[in-house]
Amino acid sequence: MVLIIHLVKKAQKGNDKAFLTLFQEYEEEIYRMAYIYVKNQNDALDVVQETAYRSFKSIKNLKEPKYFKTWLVKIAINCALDILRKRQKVIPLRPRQEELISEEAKDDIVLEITLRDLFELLTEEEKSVIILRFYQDLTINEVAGTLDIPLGTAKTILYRSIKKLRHELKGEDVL
Amino acid sequence: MSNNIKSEMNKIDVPKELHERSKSGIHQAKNEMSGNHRYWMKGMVLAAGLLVMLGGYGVYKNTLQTEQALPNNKSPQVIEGKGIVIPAIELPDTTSKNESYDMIGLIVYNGKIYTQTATSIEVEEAKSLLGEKLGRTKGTIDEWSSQDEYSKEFASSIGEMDVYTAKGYDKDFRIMVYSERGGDFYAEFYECLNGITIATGQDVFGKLKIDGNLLNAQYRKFSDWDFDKQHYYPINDPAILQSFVEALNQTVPHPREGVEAALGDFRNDDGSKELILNLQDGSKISLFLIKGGYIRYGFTDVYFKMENEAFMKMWDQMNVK
Repeated sequence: MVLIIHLVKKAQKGNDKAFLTLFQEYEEEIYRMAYIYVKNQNDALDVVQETAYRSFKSIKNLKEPKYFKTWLVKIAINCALDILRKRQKVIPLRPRQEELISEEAKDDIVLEITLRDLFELLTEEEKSVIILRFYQDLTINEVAGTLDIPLGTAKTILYRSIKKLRHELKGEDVL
Repeated sequence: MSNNIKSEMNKIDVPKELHERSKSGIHQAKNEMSGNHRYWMKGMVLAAGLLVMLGGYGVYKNTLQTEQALPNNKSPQVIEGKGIVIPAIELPDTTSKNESYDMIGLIVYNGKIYTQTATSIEVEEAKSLLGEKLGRTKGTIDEWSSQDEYSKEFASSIGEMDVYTAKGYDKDFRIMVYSERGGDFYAEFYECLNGITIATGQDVFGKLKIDGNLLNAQYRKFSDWDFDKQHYYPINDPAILQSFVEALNQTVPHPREGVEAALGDFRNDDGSKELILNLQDGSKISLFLIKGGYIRYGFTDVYFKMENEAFMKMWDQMNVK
């Protein structure tokens, strides 16, 4: 944590190398989070690049360096949502994947279906709460703070999301 | 639950270009914070791959619409009746430690500085262009290099790479690197577009050997370029393409700053488009066409004005919204 705070302070003075060192610690997590929202590699990479851009431009405004990661994750979520908003203007073209996937790709199908079970059931705000709570290991209080929503609302969204997932997972231990 | 989610999410493959994209975003921000424009930066960062400091004349900065004063900064000079003089790149004044310099890949050869450029080549096709081996670069230039390092033959910011002439091209203008790194082969052109006088487009486009070598062309919307999306559309009318290419040689150079001041904001889908000329030898020339008849190539501080109707006919071909 001391090193992170040191790097944040250097980055706040405009040191891009310090910021890159910080950012690369989290870039894979950001990419995977983004992927859950945008569901394709190109857009997820755009989210990472845009997150790097926005975060370095605004890091001077980060008051508490120890919250760097949470702050970064929030920016990443906003970037992902912005891309989704842009995309709403177009009609998604969904190929009939079951006809296109070869025998060799069966493992990927399993992965895709599992991820879809977890995330295509959820709205964007439910994804945000679930990701922050279970992927980023934030407390529900921190989730509420990160998303700028009341604690009660965060809890409601969390329980609603879990209910959906529990129903979908049919008896798996979701809590 | 948390473990389930983490393990599921960790199954998402991370593409190898992820880190480059992080760096690109940070470079964009840094450049913009320095007073430069984001969009030009982005493409160059993506194209450059490996970026190294270059001060003084600052190829990078000048290309990117800098408003920041640089030590020894020299802008192109218009000389009546002769054209535009692009000053030779000067070496950075490293005694000025407080200055922040931008970066670009470069090689010092034959006393001149060759930089990364807007023409690319695939490895397989590069093989047939390999000419005489000139030497091997030394990866001696970085942010902390002294001026002495820049004056050494084959000093470079790209590590150790083999340098060759490119068959069919003037080695005072273009050289190429072709090397193996970690099991992967790597090929790239480097061009010297400084220390020259440009009277007409012929002085630059003529060196690209487009005439008689053109295979076809594609274009890309500005926003697709900006977001590095590989959405290309063909130029379907060969006659229009040929007229455009012929007209390139007659274009008139103008200093960048004056053109941009007159154009206003052109960094959008209505104002700019990327045109890629695919040559028979495998090289891909990336030009930027800008509303009003302007064309830009590579990292010079010059816009080329195409006066005749060839520009508008080509512009109308690039009509995907």
